[in-house]
Amino acid sequence: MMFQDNNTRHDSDMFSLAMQRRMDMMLQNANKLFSLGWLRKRLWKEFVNLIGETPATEYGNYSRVLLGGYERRFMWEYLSVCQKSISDLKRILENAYDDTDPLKELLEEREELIREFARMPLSKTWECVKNDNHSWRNFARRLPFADFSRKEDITRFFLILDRISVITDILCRKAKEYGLEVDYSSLDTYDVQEQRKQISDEVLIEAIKSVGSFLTTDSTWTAVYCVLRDDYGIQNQSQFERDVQKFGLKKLAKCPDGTVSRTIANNVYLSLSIEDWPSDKKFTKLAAALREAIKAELAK
Amino acid sequence: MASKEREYINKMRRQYRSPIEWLKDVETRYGADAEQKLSYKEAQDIYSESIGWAIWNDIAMQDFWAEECGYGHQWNEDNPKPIIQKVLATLNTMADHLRRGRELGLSEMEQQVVDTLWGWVPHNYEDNYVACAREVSKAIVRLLPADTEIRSEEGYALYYNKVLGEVKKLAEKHDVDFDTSGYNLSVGYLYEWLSNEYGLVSEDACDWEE
Repeated sequence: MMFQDNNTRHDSDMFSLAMQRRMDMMLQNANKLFSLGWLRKRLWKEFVNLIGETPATEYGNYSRVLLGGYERRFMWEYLSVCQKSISDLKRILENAYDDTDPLKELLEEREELIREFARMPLSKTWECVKNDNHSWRNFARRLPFADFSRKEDITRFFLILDRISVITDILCRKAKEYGLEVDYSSLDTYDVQEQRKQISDEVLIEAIKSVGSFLTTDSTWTAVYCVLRDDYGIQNQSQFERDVQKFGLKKLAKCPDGTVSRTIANNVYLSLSIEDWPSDKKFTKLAAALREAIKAELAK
Repeated sequence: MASKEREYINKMRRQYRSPIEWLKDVETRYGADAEQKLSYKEAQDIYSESIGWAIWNDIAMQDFWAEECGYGHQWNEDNPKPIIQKVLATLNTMADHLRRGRELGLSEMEQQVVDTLWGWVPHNYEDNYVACAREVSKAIVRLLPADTEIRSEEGYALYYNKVLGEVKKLAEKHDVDFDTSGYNLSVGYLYEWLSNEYGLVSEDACDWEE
């Protein structure tokens, strides 16, 4: 059983549960974890600031300035390999055979790379890096820049990170940022998680107010939840209820805890997507009205 | 009653040979030229038993074995040399790692906690990690429910949360990297490994043994 031939790295049976869970989570959240446009921008800004702060007399020793401190080392290592893999990916995209789809190849390659990335000791807390100003600094301080024997590991870490992030950007339809022309028509057939659209509270409140005449009973809030679930990927029912209570919309019905789950249990069709609901129900009309109201708010 | 579960887990922990014992065994049998004399079958045994030992004792070590000698490598009976070398090298590394822990005066549990906190083996036993692990293992023993209490999933969740809170405090005190704002591999290891200390065994496991 254990030693069958023709096995690839995908048969990760022998890795611990913690590691397997980590790989799965990284693959599921790949688009979120590896969209690193924000990191490039922040690091570049940091770099420009650093040049501005450095006195002209120090220009001769600039490498020393760059290597002082873990955060600067992180900045330098990342920016120096940044987008190095574009020419290679361009070659893959342009020279594909007629019967193969380059985007599918990229998807498969990214999966392999993410599995390797998850197994790297240096990536231990990568999930804690978020789009803010201090989390990447925390991460940088943990990297063993002082340990000379791990220099190769660090270089490989940044190369893989860069390649994954560029592939992720291409798969998220941002290829134009790199000057690449990509045909995305085939992408819908693969199981790519689109980056979820975000909706701000202000827009949502205004849209809800404009359909206020529908929201007469507690259970009607379920339709609002279903719109958010289908269009914006919001899954947490009790969080939704708490949010609504926090909005404090006085003239409308309240949304006490447990409303959504109770209503969906009593009206099973609500667990389907909105397009499959029976058209004569009040919930369906409310959902359609709310969608239009949100669209109108966003257009403003 | 927890004594039955504890007995079962101790039995499972002792069921497999540790890397140190394996290395001693290989050296007594083959001496210096183990690489030439070790057979393919024995290399398989070493690998699978070490994985089994690691599952019950030191989860971080399991990932190291899987990474070094796992499926990605050529387990080919016609050309067994490369994988035998790989297995022996990994065995040496692991035994060396455990020995260094013993030389530092760490108990088995403390050494496993260091590996868990570091999130990878082998490593250099940094001073702050060792100091943190010593306090953490005391906390683990202190917070453990009495042996008379029945072990359950819910009880484990409570115990785990208590330990996690303690580990967070101690990690901050000793400047140990234990960020829990996202998924941290150390936390995953701790969750898995602590269930053995607690004595969480699936219901029919103990009965099946009898």
